Amino acid sequence: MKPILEMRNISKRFTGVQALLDVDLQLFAGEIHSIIGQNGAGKSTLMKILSGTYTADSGVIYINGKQVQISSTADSAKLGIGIVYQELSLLNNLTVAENIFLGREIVNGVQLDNAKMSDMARKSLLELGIENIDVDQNVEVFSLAKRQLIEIAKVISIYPRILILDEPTAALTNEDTRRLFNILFKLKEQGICIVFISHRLAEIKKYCDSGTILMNGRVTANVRMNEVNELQIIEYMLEDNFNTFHRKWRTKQHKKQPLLELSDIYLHNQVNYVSCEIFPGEITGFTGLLGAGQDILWRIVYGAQRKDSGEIRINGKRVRITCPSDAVQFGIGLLTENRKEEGLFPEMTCQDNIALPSLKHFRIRKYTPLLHNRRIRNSCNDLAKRLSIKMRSLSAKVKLLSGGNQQKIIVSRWLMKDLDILVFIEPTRGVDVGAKTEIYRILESLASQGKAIVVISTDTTEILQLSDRIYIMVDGKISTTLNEPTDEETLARLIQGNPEKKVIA
Amino acid sequence: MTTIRTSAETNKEERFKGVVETLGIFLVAVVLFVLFSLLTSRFSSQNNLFNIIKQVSIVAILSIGMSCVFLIGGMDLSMGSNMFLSAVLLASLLEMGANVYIAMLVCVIACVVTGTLNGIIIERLHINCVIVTLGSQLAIRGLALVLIERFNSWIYVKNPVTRYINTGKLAFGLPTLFFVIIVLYTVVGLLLYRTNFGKQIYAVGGNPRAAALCGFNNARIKTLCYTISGIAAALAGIIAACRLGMVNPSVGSGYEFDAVTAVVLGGMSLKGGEGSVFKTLIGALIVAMISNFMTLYGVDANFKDCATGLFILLAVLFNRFTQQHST
Amino acid sequence: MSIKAKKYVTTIIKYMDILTILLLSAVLVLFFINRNPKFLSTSNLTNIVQQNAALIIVSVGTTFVVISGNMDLSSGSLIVLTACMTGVVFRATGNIWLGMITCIGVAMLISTMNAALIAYGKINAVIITLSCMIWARGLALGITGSKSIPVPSTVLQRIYQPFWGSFFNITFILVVLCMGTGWFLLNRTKFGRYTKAIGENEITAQLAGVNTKLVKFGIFAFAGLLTGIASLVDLSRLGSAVAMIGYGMEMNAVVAVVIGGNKLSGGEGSFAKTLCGLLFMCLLSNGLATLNLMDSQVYLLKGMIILIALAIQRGSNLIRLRWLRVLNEKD
Repeated sequence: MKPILEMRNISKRFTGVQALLDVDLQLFAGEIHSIIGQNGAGKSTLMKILSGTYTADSGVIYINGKQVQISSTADSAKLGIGIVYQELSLLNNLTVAENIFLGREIVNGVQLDNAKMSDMARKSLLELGIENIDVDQNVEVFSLAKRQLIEIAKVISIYPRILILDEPTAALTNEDTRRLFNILFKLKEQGICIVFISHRLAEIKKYCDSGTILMNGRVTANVRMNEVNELQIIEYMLEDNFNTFHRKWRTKQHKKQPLLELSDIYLHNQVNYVSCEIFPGEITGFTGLLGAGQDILWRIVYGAQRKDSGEIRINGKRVRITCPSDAVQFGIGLLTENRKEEGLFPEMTCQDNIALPSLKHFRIRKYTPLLHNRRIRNSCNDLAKRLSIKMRSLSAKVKLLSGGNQQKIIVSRWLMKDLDILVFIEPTRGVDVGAKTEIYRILESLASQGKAIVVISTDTTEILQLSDRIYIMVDGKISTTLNEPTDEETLARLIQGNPEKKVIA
Repeated sequence: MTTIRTSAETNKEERFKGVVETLGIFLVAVVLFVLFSLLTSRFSSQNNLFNIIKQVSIVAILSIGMSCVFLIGGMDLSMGSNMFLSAVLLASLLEMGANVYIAMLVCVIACVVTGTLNGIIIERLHINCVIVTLGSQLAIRGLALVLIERFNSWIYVKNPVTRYINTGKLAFGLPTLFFVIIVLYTVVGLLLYRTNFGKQIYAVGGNPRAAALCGFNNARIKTLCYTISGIAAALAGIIAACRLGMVNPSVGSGYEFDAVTAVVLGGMSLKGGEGSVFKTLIGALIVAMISNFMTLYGVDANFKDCATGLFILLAVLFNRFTQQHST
Repeated sequence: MSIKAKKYVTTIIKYMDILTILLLSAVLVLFFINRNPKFLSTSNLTNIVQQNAALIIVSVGTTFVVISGNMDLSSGSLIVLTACMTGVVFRATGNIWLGMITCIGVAMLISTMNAALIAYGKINAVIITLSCMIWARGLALGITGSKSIPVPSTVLQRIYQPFWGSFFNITFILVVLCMGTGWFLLNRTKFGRYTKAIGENEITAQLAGVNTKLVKFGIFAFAGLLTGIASLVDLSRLGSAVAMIGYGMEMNAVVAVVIGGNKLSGGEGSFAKTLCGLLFMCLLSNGLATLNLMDSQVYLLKGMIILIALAIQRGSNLIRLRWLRVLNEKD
């Protein structure tokens, strides 16, 4: 059988990072093909090249044996490639039918033929076996799962030959996932090639026909799903030796008081009665699949997200945290994965970015509002040296720095404030390999100074390298607590949520 | 790799870049000055220069408030009305025999109240700033009109202190108002660049989400910016009353647009978080020079409005053009 | 909750913004009728529509602008400028048709210039239309020397003169026509659909293949055309181009559109909401005018009532969103 789409020797380099290197991919009609790999393995880059968002540095793409150029999203649409994005691209204020036909409305003279469009939308939904969606309702009233189906219907309605789904199941329940795949099977029978991207191996194993496994921008294996088991897939996904940074698993000092205790934190549909303890001088890792609730849990603790119920205790005393400023007052600092949107002040200088929350300690005199600039600069300089931040000067705008250095700027912001608990959500996302190790060392040294460090990451390697204690979250609950080192395969298996709840101690 | 170069060297570099950026608008001011001097000889006479300083004072002070509001991504179109309210209060209190300093204090307090109310409605209820300040523009002007109608819509301001503010010379033969501007801009410069609050204004304007996660109270900071705008309008109103020697219902109307022009000329955008208050001062100077020149040239007052509007347009285009080149 | 009751509640929540403004209007009516028993008489109601004809026409354009997530502050000044231009052309040539063409032409020219700067120059609409608001009024008053220019043309007067009964005139037809066209464009054509799409999320609309710049250009050009028509209507009613013509129109239009419940951040909006907002604003202006107050008191009351109404509308919207969330969570 000849492949419907073939990518050969695709390479793509971003500043400092080789995202893809000589990647080959073959897709066949009537197959569900999965792209498997850890975060940063290059899955989404590959798909973005296919969709025309990025162009490859080198390599060729063939469709039906003919070489093609994909340089824009319009090109890929013309070639019959349809993409369902992770962030849904539906307009909430329009109806289902209006969304499906946006940009290619059917007109009768100048007048829109709404009846016909509604009919066709209904028909295309029915073809997919989707019932009880009123096409004349606004999209905003439907649940996330239904919106996902609408989005697929929208993409399908342009009759693509290749349908790409980027993490479609991250927010879906098992039941919804099963329904989604029933639809995908129908499409498969029509001869459409489906590319499925997911972190959930169980789903991949159960529903997909074949897969390409990526690791650090390279293809490590092409597999038929009926020939491999989950463990083998995990092996292909993981690096053989991850000795770039290896942390000694610290021996536990017993009878230590927990610094922060969470009990029964609950948020409807997101976090399910989570209780845990965070100790000073330790790095506590939280991991789980995308959407398992680990990041929302810590946003709740920081006061950036409301909770339905639950209790937070610091040093044994119950505290009320309703907004981030409360959390900072109690000595908690949060660094999120969206550095640009939630961390940095891009137009301000590095010095301002570091010192902003602690400025009130730098007054000239106690009751004078004026700040002592030299003292600020000196302590910023000290921190910059300590974390070896590379920048032109403290008065350079922070937007000019690289990702790793920006991350260090935010770390130093909370260091200057001298907080006891530092929470890092995905601390090394978008950071190149060298800076990654540096950030690990910083976290390590902070912990050894007696701070409580919490690392939330979907990257199992990272979690294993860093943590003294690991909490694994599945479906909003802590499923497993690891107090001792384990190997990566076990962790990867635990994250998938299959083994029974247990504490390895 | 050296982590940090000596701060003296890099600071110089940064400062130089800043100077070049400021130079753009400064050059415009110089070119206009030379052009106007060549067109009318009277323009550069000492008398007229003093006149320009006095004329710029009102717009310059209003622009302080407008700058703060622009920095947090807002706009205050009620400044002209606030200014009118302050002028009316001053004049009527003086007419009733109050102490001039207490009268001024009352003006400031009244505008602090109106400005803060604006801020609360905009930031706590999350209603668009343009709509709210257009509404409060009407309400505040109405309030002041109710007051001035008690005095048959025309109050003379006769007081040694107000006269001194208008015509007095504090030192070096320069008008008092010159020093008032210098002092106020020094204060606001220190506030914006040398205090915690000032840095927070830039932070909240530049990235509100990050600011909230830093533990800042965004709504309070933004509300305070509208308070500052109220204070600025109050001071501008006091000076307007002193300069005119009387208050009538046309005082302050349309002045908010002059302030917007000055701020936009100074390079601030509606996005917030960027810009310098000193460039705003140069912007205000340009506005005053153009208006003064047109008066000297005998241009109809209405065409002056027309020129103001066109000048905002030019300023926006100018900014857009230069920004595209810098990035 | 039974299914029927739930459906009932959902409908109420869905239309809560409209209900709120209607309720506020009812309060106004009750207040004014108390002061002036003739407030609801046919003649006064006719009067309200006729006097506010220009506002209603302008609001049609403003609705589009607001739904697309923009703001237009130039309409009031464009009205006075085009009215004065018409007056000047008529005085010079004596040809009213030429004057009317000038009126519409100038309005469209200036607003398309603004539109080009906003859509293709990517400059904030508030600043562009704000500058236009200032210079156009200045220019208008400059060319007329702040004096009113009478336009004694029977053709023009016919727009306002009733030709059937006491109510039915060309103004009324124009109002209905503009409203109808606006409604048709918004709900029945690609243009309207793209306007909504742009207001919700410009990038998504662009990805779906919508020429967002062209649509934006069209929105402002359409608003300009309506402003020209509104100018003619007002000119016909007043008989001369006076300085106060169109004063504060942009503000009244934007406030009417927003108070009716259209979202200023764009995306959501309908002509039903605009109509309710207009009802409120027209009742307010007319009612205040019948109270025989001083100008100052009118300003004060109008400003404060608008602010209070905005706050109430905002509050009811917050409640509406919360209920919607609760209802959706139960699903």
